[in-house]
Amino acid sequence: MEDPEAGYSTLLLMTCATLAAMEISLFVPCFINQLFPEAGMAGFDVLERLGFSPRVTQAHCCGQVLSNAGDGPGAQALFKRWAQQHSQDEETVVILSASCTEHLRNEIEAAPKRAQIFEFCDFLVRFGPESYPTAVPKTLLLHTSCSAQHGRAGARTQRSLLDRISKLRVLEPQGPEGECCGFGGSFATTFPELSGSMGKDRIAYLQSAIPKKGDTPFLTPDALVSADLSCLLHLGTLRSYPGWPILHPAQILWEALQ
Amino acid sequence: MKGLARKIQERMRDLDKVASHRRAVLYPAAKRRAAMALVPEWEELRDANKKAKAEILSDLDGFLDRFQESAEARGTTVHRARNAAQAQEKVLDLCKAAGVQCIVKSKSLTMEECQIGPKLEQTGIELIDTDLGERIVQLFGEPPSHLTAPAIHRTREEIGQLFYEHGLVPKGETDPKILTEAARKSLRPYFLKADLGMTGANFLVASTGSIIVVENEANSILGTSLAPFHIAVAGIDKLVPDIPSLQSFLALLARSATGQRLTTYTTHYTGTMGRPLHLVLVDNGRSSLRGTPAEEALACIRCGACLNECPVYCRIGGHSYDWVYPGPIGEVLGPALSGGPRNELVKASPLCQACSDVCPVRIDLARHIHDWRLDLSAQGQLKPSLPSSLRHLWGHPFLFRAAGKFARHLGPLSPVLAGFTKAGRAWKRGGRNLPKLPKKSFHELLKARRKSNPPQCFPHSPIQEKKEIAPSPTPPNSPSAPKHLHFHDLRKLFREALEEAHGKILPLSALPNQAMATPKAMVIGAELGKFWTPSPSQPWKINGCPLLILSARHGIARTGSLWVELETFEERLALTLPEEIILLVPEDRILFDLPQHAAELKHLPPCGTLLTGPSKTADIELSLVIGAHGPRRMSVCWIPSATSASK
Ligand code: SF4
Repeated sequence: MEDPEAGYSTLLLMTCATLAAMEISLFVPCFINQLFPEAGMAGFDVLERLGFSPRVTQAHCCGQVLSNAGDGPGAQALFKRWAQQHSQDEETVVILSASCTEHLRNEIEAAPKRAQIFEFCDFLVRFGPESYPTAVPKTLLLHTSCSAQHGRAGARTQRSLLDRISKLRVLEPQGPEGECCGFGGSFATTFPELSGSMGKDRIAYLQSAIPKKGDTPFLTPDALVSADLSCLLHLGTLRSYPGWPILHPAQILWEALQ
Repeated sequence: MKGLARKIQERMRDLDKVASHRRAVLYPAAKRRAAMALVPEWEELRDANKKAKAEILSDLDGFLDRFQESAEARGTTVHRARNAAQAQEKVLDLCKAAGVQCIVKSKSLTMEECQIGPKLEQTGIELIDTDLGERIVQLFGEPPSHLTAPAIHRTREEIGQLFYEHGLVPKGETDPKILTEAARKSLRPYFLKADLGMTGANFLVASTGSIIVVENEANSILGTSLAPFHIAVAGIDKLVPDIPSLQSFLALLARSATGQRLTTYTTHYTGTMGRPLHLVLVDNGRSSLRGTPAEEALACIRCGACLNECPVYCRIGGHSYDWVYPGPIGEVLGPALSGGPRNELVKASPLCQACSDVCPVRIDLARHIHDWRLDLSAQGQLKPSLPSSLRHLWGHPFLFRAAGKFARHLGPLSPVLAGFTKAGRAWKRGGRNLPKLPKKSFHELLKARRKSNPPQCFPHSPIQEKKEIAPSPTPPNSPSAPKHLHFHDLRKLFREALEEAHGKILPLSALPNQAMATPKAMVIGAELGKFWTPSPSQPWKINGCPLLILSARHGIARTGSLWVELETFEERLALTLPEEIILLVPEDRILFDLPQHAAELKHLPPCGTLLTGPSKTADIELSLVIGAHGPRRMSVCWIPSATSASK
């Protein structure tokens, strides 16, 4: 851990005081709760260490899975439950998944009570620090999901956030051919072969960002990172998956805050 | 449901085919991006298009009446058909009345939709598709598989074999150039003998009654100029308000479809020229979309960009959708225009939104596909795509968490067991393993942590105030010509664009002297003046004209196009028949872009075209061949304004 700069301790008090005024809660979606608990914990720790003291709600699911499957009433019921958990006025909710954020944003637009919602990276790019104390000398392969690419969160937010960490090297495929990873919720089981083939092509696309033997610098990724772990869940279960550990940006930030 | 899923499963067995189709489709997608990079006002143009179509849809009946009125004032006969059967009947009646025996037809998705071709053929009329891609699928006996590239699913080898079987080329021929040439030769006799030219329409201009047809090959204008009778078939959704609003559509249509700045021929048919011109306006379910959220889909200009961008379309190909409109737009129109068996199409999307991002009229396709899923399921016309057991599990937080806990207790056994469920089996079919479960869920970890570890606060630099990430300022829209552009600059821009379209600039000295003395059109060559009356018995005459010189009204620098007014059929043929054409344009008549061109169009001639380069096609594996049905070479020559040949 680097030495805190002069004045850090005063700042500490100041920022904690300012941030405490900002009531936020953290929503950890259903599949992260069940399958990527470490990512959830990292998200929680990072927010807490930055002084946000997030309230973690018991909300279960935003309803996206059912909505995409065509089950409107089921999805609505889930959203209602979600909204009950986040019914405080002007509440700021940080969400650990870009696609759930996108779904909730659409639902909330139609709902009378409006919570302010932010995808995790988006939130920290706006309200978090410009730099982090600890260098993370790792190489990451970055996957940008469709919700980030085409949705309103913005494709660059996760990258902007990671760029604030020193010594971190991010490999990101260039070129516009990056298609959907093929998950799409129930799409993956309705058209399995198609979905799997899209996943394989997405892996090849990600691999195109990795320097070849003989290139300088020659880097191999330490992990595959994305603000949408659902894509990585899909890619990671493919039999042709190259075995990169799967991480959420929160887990990298966690290291940068040690 | 089974139908589509099974079809896709079968399709995915042939991975080579899937990969080669994907490669083919990604090519125009890349071209579109390159074209877009050169148009800083792209997003504004999309907005303008969306707005113009919204205006039409807000008063569709009014605009239809206005269009009909203006069209009939110029001599076009307009018929309305409520459904496909009526459209078939209308066309058939017209054919019978005129004693039509042979039809040359250019591309028309609406005709395909209404199955007009098969109906005509049943009655013994010979119907020949003249667009190369359409001709290929016609000879294969199959429907087109893409909105703009009908034969994109066929390889050059397959097409070579097909042409060999039809006696057009020697065995083993696969060169797109030679195959295209063979098609050109084999189709010429049909152009000569046809007694009806049929076309679709890309736009119908309400204020002028114009029918706009865009094409690269020249088959459409050739067909309508040689045959004594022209019938166009178009959906009522093809309307645009007026000539100025047409320009933003033109600016994005070709760029979105193929990356061209403008299609080679953008022909404006405004009324008759002494021969009958009929338009059959087809509703066929379109007006039932009005007032529904999917109404927006009526704004589609069939550019095909959403297909090219779609990760599903590019793998499964157009035929998997089993109807005329494939890809994302087909998924939105399917339940609306066709219903029943087309409902399940709305499942064939991961909702990645790539389509919504590219649509030149800003149709939010992904949202409509998603909405259809919800609506159709709510109406009981579509089964949700997750089994009800899973949906119940998801819908009950308590059950869901309990199930998770139980599965975690089972440890490594749980993926194995899950593999026996329906969803688990399907997951594995995609070449995937079932995910392993962690020891504890997030909520369990958090609970444990709270007991042992008090929260701590970490120092960081001062927080920022709400710093909105403003979208990068969009460059100022520049539909009006930049003031500083001198005509030398405009000529330079024009030259670049023209060369991109495979035309070239000729120096004045390269022109024979007579050209300067002739006000409008002249033909230089052996058959001077004679080829105007081609007949089936002398088909050679149609090929006998080597060079034509014609003058254009003005040029458009940004697209490299020329506006050519064609007041007689001879002039129409003159533009399409010769091997080579040279166009003369006064050097001070180069306008900046399409909006300036629109401002010049005070009165539309019965026929006018925006010509951009020589005729061309890319219907065989998307490899470009210059010289389809029209001229193989096209050049432009500046005329000094003092000696201007224009009127
Ligand atoms: S929906 Fe949009 S992108 Fe798709 S074909 Fe129509 S106009 Fe083109």
